[in-house]
Amino acid sequence: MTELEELSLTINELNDLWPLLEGEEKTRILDERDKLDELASTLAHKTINESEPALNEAIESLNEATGLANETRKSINNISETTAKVARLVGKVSKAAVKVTGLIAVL
Amino acid sequence: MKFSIVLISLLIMGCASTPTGQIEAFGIAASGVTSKIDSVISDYNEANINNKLAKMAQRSKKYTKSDLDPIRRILIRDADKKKFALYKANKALGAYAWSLSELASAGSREKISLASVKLANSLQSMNKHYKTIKNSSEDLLTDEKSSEISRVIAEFSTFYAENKRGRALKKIIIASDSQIQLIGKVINEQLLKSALESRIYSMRGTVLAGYFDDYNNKTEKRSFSDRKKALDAIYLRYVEMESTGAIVLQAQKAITSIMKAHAKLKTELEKDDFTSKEVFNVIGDIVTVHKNYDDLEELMLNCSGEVVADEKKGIICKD
Repeated sequence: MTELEELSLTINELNDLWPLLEGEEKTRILDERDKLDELASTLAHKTINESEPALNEAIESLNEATGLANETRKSINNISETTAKVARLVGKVSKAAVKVTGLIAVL
Repeated sequence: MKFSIVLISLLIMGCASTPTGQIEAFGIAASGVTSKIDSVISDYNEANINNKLAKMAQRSKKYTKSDLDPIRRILIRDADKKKFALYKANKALGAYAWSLSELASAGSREKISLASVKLANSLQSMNKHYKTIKNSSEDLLTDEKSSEISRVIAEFSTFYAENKRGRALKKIIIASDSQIQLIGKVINEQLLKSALESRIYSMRGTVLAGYFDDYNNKTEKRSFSDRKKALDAIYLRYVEMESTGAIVLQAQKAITSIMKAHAKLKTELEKDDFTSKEVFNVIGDIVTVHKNYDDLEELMLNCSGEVVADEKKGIICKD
């Protein structure tokens, strides 16, 4: 059991107790609960914030793999885009050639 | 020419037996799951606010705005998310899964075919223009020739795209498996289980205790129906608190299914098998867990009893 789990367990026990109490005793247990709760809050925040070097390295490597996958996808998608570009170019050039020929004929 | 067309066609038919559709399915299912893990972070945020407000309300004190300031410090806000291990790990998993599915569907035959049809049309149009310019009926390129050129380009492009895609996916998946296993393990054991589950549970318990305190203080003056009404409301809070474990368990199952599916993909890809039935099954598991996750939300909304984790039946509503 982690320190945070132990703290949470004690907080749960205190929460199960103080609603049954009155006066100073109740305040004392609430104070104790709040003190532990602050500790648990800090610890939980630290746990989900701080990552071990091994995890950071793994995340970095995975992000690199993601980058590689994205680059490869782009280069593959370029294949069909290039064909489409060639098609557009052929169309434009042949239309332009007709226009130029027409102009030359008029002149 | 005809020989080369036949050769390319045969090669393409070979590639078609290595469809990357399984990997695309894996990516879509896995990125769906990681988006659900984000909802656990939202639960944590919400529980933090409620916990702080409940603790304040449990004291007979007077407050001002500055008493609410500490809430800002404990929340995981969008701007801060990027610093958090759980967020970073989950985000890396989601982005990776999505990039795999995008790569697996890159350079689709449809797109290449469409581009080739456009090319054939342009070549035919060029031929017409050529005949106009030359004022002749002689073809520069017959329609058949234009179609043949476009078809060869399409076939070659498809072969190149599928080959490149398959090789890249194999390389990436095999190289990333150890990272996926490590990240999944940390998310499951350290972050979800030990940090978030126990913390969300106890914060919800703090809110619940406030309602019990209220109830206990007024119980002698209340009628039976008032007491029952108050207990009904408390019970809803209790169910919410008790379902914390079920939500985390479901999130853990989802991450585990991603880890398993990825490991299986790796094993099969090492054997150059993109189509194994086992791969299909493990991807099916992710989809099922993902669906169960949605079911769980439905269950939480509609269950009038207790939401519990049953070893045999999974997450159930106990009336």
